[in-house]
Amino acid sequence: MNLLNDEILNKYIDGELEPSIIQKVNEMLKSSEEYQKRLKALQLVHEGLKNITGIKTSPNFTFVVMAKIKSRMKKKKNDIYFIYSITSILISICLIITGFVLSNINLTTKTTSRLTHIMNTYLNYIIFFNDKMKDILNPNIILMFGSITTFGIIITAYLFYENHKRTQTELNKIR
Amino acid sequence: MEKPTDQEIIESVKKGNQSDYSLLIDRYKNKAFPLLVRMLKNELEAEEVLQDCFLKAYNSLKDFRYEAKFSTWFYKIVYNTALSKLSAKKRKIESGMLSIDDQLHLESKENFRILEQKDISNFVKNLINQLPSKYASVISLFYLENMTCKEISGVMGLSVTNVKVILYRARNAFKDVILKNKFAEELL
Repeated sequence: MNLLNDEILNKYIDGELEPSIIQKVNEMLKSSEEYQKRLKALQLVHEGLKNITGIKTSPNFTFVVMAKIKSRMKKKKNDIYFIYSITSILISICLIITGFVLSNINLTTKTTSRLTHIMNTYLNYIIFFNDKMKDILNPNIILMFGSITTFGIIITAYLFYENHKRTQTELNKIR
Repeated sequence: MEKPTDQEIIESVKKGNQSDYSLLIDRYKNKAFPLLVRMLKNELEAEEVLQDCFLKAYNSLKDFRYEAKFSTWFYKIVYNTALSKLSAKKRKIESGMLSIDDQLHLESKENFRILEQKDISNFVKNLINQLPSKYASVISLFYLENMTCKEISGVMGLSVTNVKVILYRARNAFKDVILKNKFAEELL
């Protein structure tokens, strides 16, 4: 070690040098005023940085963050309730349809003939629906079908809109 | 009465005591804020980003497994969010994220006089604002948050050696300004 470079002086300040090297550094420092100046300057920087006071956030910072968290949690909860309610309605409809189909199948029939029986039942239903199609011009049926379709469209549009809004907010945050 | 540890607060929040999260906010807001201000060079923007960081941390708290200290994990969020913000604003990250091989050139304000030790703090405070983001981050984490080089390397995704190089480069740049202005001689 012939020269005291800045790296060694930095390590000297941080106490990262071996005791034998510290001794050499001390000797070199005593012999050169230039080294002393550099060390003093680095020590000034180190001390100056240690004594820097931090910058503080605005006084209501915590309140604002907590309010944001609460509002997000509430919205999340509402979204979950909405999705649960729609899902439960759809499941209920499916269960009713399944129950109705099953109630019309004779479960006591033997396994081999049961499949034939199920096929026959479905064929009967197709014939039944075919007959019913003739009544489709009935205004009441059109009204009911239209209401269900509109309901479905409204729900889909709402979910799409919410999703779009959320994506937009996320994008704005990034910007 | 002893203050609850970070882990105790996190467990309480996980159990559903949402309001306990404010304890963590109070504990870390003024620690992370200087880091963001130094990186983004704008206090209003820094406060907004810090709010987002706390929201992100809250949403991810259930996945926090204590593999690192909460502070390290949180500073990682803060640092990465600030980088994303800088990137999104289409600032030249390269200019803020100088390669460690690049030289730092800082200049002091004219007519700055160092009469006492406390003036040095104000002096270096002004110089920090001229530092590129990466350098300012290391200085903030090391001196303001009292983090070790190892912890800083965990936050910034750099090797410990690189962190030390950045720290030394920043100090040397400050030292050069001090020597140039002969402040050291005044205080010798």
